[in-house]
Amino acid sequence: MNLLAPYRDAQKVQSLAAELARISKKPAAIMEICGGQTHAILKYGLEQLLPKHIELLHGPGCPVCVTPASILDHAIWLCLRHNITLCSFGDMLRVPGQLGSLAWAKSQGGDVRIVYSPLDAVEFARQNPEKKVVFLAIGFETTAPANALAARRAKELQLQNFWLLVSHVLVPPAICALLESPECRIQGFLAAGHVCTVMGFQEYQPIAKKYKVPIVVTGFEPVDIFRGILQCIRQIEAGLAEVENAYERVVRPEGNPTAKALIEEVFEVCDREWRGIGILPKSGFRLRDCYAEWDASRKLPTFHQNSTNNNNLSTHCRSGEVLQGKIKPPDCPFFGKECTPENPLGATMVSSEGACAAYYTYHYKAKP
Amino acid sequence: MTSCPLPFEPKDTVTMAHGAGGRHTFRLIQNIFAPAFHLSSSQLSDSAIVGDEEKWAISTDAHVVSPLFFPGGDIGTLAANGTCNDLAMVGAEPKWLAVSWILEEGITFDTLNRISQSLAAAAAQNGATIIAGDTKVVPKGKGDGLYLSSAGFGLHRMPFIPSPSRLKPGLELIISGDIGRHAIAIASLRDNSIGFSAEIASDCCPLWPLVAALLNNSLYPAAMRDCTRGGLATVLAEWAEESNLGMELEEEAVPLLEPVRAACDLLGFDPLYLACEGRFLLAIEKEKVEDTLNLLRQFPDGKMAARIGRVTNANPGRAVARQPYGTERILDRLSGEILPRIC
Repeated sequence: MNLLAPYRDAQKVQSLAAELARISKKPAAIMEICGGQTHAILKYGLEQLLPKHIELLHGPGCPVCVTPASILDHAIWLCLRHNITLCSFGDMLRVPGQLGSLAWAKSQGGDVRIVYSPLDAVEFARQNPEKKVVFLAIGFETTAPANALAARRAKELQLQNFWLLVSHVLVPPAICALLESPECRIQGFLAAGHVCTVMGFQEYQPIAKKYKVPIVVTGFEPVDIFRGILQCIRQIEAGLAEVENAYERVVRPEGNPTAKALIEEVFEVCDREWRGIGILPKSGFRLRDCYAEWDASRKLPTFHQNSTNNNNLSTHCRSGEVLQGKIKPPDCPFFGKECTPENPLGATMVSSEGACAAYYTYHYKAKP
Repeated sequence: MTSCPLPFEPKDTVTMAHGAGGRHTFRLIQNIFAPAFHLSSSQLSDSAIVGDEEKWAISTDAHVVSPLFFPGGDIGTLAANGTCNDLAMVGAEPKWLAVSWILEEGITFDTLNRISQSLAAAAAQNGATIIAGDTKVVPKGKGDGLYLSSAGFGLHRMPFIPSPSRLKPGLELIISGDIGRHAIAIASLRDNSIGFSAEIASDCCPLWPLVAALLNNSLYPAAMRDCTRGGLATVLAEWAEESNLGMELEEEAVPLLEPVRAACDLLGFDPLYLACEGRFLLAIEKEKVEDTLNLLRQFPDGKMAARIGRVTNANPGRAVARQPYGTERILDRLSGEILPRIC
């Protein structure tokens, strides 16, 4: 039985699109936060069903894209120089830091392993006490509970050979940073359904109120996405700015209390660098002091970037602007020419959830 | 504005992406092998036809699958079927196989026995005999238990050599069965870390019996290709580029088992890019579609054969997937490895 079939139903999508065309009168630009939504929108070609005056801006919610290069360099350096087994989520492997990517480190003999759950990395460390294991704990609030669980499990087992290299980021500070920008033209947000599954959506109320933007919690299937867009446009047409939940089958207002308690136990809020965007205050998580023993950034050798080694950097990449919805990937002069998934200039061309990669994969050749 | 600089990653070494059967593999062949062996792009096929009076097809294939055993087969069945399927795709009847064994020190005789038996059985299903071979042993840690390299020889049985250059607008595209089972069966075993046990057996099977049935009924596909690494989407993209015609896919018509679809949703895979080891795409005239489907569906491995699209004048050089929403997307060759997404 296909549980997702009702949410991919073509007739339902088409009737939502017709309703949208009926109610939408004025031009509107709305941003979907999550890279998973960007990916689905482009894969299913949903933009082709929108009225011409509705524009979707693609947001910064691609965890792989916003993870700073310095974290990757640290991971690669630990792996190659300190003989550490580096466990990571799969789509992190191709994203390069300054030294190279984890895939490249693997080709150089580094022990890089893809895991599907952070707990698999803990288990690997437990079964292989002679190996030193680091898990690259990145992502938004979505991956935070599982990563917190890995830290707690390592503490329970009192593992001496397992550490987390943490670079967690948070959605609400990123939304505020986007809205603070003088060039901002975002009139409404589709909030990331998975993030809200964990965190709920109460923290978005003050943002909607302060900046007068509607925020609609939205899922990932075509029907979910169209419902999110429709509710957002309804608010814009009516001049409203409220937080609504268009993903009720999964998201509750208060989120998942168990997961939130776990995050609270393990992590604390800190300033974080976002690749392509810069340092945003109070925009990430780090391990609390009571988990310092398992914090790679505190317990393992620190990597100092050679700042004179910037010669081989591509400086003309505009993925920072792409991540902030300021330009669309095809607006970049390098898109599809110097910059392709094979030879990426920026992280957004690498990850499957990056906007540039999604445009390239699903629509690039369609352009005349 | 803070830019998002990337370094130019060292590009002088092979990464796993070069073995994934997509664009990286294509570039490797294009930039290194083709010039070294003076091959033109029309010669870069899995099989070649040689001979004057009797036409022979030659193919070669290497197998490095890990784990060695998986639901629905093992490295032995994969080697025999993979090599023979490459012959079948140019309309050749598999006759002989030569197999080289690269053994890692420490592999047990029992394992070797089991793999030899299944290789022999799969060869027999294809009608092929194993007539030559070689054995090498590498030190412990220098191989993944066992690698196989095989060559196949077959007798050409068609009035022409099926090839993308014979594609014409108006031809219909047929897939011989449901896609993606092999990739999911392997992914669910690899590293034991995927955290789910999919009850999905590989689709690894001999294709010659299906092709032979078509030829015996004078159904001659203009082109055939097995959808191995890179999957159905990569084959469509290759055909579009090689023929400079459009390949139009009806995405909803592609047969897919529900557990495969569910695994793809869970891991963020696109089923159109998943490797199969016993499925092929063929192009044939519209009036022959019904007969082709009826014949294919008589075989257990062809039960789910379906018409999935057509060759068009529109969008030359491109494969386009039409979706039930009335939207479309481009299908390009696989880029890099298929990696599970983060969340």
